[in-house]
Amino acid sequence: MIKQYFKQATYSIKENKVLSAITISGTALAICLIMIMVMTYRAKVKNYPPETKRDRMLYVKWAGYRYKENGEISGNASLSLQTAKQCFAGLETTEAVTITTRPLLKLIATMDETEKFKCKVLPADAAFWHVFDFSFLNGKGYTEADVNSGLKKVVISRRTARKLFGTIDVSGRQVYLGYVPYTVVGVVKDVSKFADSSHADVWIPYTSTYIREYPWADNISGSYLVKLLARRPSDFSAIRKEVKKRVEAYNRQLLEYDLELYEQPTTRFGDTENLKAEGGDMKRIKRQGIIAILLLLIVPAVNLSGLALSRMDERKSEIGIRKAFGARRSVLIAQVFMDNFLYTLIGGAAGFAFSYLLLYLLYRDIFIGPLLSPVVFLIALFFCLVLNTVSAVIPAWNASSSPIVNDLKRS
Amino acid sequence: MKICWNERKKNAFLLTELCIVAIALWYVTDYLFIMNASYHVPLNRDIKDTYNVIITQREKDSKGYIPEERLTQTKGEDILEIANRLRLHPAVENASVSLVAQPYITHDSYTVLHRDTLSRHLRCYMVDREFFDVFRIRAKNGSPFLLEDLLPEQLVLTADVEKDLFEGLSAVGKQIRWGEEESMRNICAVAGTMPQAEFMTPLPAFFYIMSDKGVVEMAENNWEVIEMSVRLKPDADEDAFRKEMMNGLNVQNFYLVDIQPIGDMRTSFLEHTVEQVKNRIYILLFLVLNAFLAVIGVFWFRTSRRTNEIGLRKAVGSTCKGIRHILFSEGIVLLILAMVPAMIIGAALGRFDVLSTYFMPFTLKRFAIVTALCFLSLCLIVLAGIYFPARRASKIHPVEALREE
Repeated sequence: MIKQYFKQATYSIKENKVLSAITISGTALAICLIMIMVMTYRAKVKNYPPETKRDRMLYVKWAGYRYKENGEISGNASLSLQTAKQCFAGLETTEAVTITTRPLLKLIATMDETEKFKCKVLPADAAFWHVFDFSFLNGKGYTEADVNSGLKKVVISRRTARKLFGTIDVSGRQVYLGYVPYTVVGVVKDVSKFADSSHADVWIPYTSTYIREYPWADNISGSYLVKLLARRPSDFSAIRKEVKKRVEAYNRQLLEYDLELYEQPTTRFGDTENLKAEGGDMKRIKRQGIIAILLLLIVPAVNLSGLALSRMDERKSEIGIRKAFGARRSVLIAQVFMDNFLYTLIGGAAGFAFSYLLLYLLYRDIFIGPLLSPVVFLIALFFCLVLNTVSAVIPAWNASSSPIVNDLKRS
Repeated sequence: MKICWNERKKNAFLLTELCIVAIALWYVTDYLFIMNASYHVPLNRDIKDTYNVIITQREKDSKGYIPEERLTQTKGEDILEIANRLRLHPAVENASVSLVAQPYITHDSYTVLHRDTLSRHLRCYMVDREFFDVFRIRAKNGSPFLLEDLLPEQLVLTADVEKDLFEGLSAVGKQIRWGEEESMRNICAVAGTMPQAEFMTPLPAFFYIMSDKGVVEMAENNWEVIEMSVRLKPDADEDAFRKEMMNGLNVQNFYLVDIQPIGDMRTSFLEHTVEQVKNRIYILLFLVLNAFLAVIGVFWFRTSRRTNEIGLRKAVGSTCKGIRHILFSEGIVLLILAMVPAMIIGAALGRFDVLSTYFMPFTLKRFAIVTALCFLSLCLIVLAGIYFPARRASKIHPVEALREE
């Protein structure tokens, strides 16, 4: 029985090539847009390797210093090591705390200096390998002991390993980093630029190299960043409370300035938007985002409904005649449903494929695998199915209930 | 008009769609119009073939590290030597040392200048004389600076500062007080206005020209953040130069990390804005495509349903052109109706300060231009969407159409 509907549906698609093409294109366009928006959002905000725990992470990257006497903000920068350690190390409400610095640019070279090029270095601690989920192709990350002793150990990306040695099987070999000999302890899978908290070419213990300090203003600011890993997202408010207490205690020790953290620690969403030190207007940004999405969905919605209405107009006479020959209403409606289901399916598949293609063209660096989201695709597909069908079924229903004479008269 | 009313149900859908698209289109057109205008403001510099020379010092554990006692000159002198070595290289046109002055850096520095009773908080660029040549910074009148005009330990103001502080008179040869100092500084030249980057308005600023001795002193105190820029000759091989300099710029503990095109710094600097512009363009394309499909859909179907009517018209003498004319007019009527809410909302957005006025105030001229652009774009969409159905309609043979009935 369903096969019959299916055959009929394919026939009617072929019959109205142009209208079908337009409906399918409209559906494909809507699905393509939804998928791209969702996938870019996921890459930036949702869990994305190696930042697979973003949903339970809090971020701190700015430390302002406020003159105690008049309460005015005197300046902003990242955190000093002193601030990072005193306010965040060993927080009880967290599962882990990782301290990194802002990325550095260094010269990396083989020991015989035949290969020599710049690379992006991310100095980090040992907890970094716990908070972020790197795929080690060789060896492993450096340890707490390594960090405490400031040992010259380095983890390099696959691309760097290939460029230096031509192979990734290089644990134990040495490289020059700023002409200082470092031992390679691990090789990891390349990291996409979308993982901007952990992206680099190589990673070293921050204690193994000179990190510039800014001792003025009570040594509040510096080059360090902090990320907190909670056991569960519901712990966020408890963590923020504990941080607040620590900051208050820290400020009491300081002589001339107070530490100002603004709205931090923030979630990943706040981190991506938090471009200026004083923080963006989170509410306004969220509101703009929602308005944009709604607007974008209304347009194809109106489009698809209108097209369905047009298609149905065409078929009104056909429906009337079929009724005259004794077809039951339920059969007619079922046929309409199948037609639209087919349109939506084809359009959906096309839109889905197209969205991947576009995403690849726009951001070559993106790893699509982790962004596959069947749930979102199905929701988007359902949305289009509803639009395509409801606006077709209603006139079909009317058509199949009005007297045959009217339909024939229209013909 | 009558036809429009008869088809009102489907026209209602199309009209709603066109309304929404028109409103969104108006907003995006305004945004892109402003962005385009602000992008084309003259920057008074040229970064083509310019590079940021990134040097650093070896650390204590580095191979080839020379301990403090064994150094033969200061870090400042090292840096001047590196700059001179670059200037002598056949592939280099010129090299410059500066502080917080390179184009597209992310940090900045401000100082107060005083003239009589006026005080201004101005962007401060610490540079050597070669800086103006490396980045092709021009004088107020548009011509390049002569080296004789750029005097060490004197200032170069940008034209907007001169206008502000010297009431339309020339500032050259006059004096100005710097910060908290008691002594006055000479102004040796005036440069054209300079925005910090594309999409921004001119930034009131001044250059302080350092002598060689001044460069050494400044570099000594700021060697970690000192800027070195080169302009390579147009036919120079960037990669060969970089490779050569990796070993060729070793001066005491200094060595080269990278030669970075200033263009890369520009890309980073503008990244956020460019992404916003791109996103708006993609949304625009999406809306336009949807509108296009809607128009084609409705009108295509319309011609197939009205084949008999069209055939009849043709039989009584209506030309192909006439048929097309009817369809196009329907489209234009809908379009005009759709533009009305767009214009109202656009004007409201402007009035209530929702639109960006950083670069250009919301004037009647701006409103008119944006509305015109918006209308034309929608016209194109509607006409393109009606074109194919219209062609189909004109192909209808009167006899066949009547026969269908």
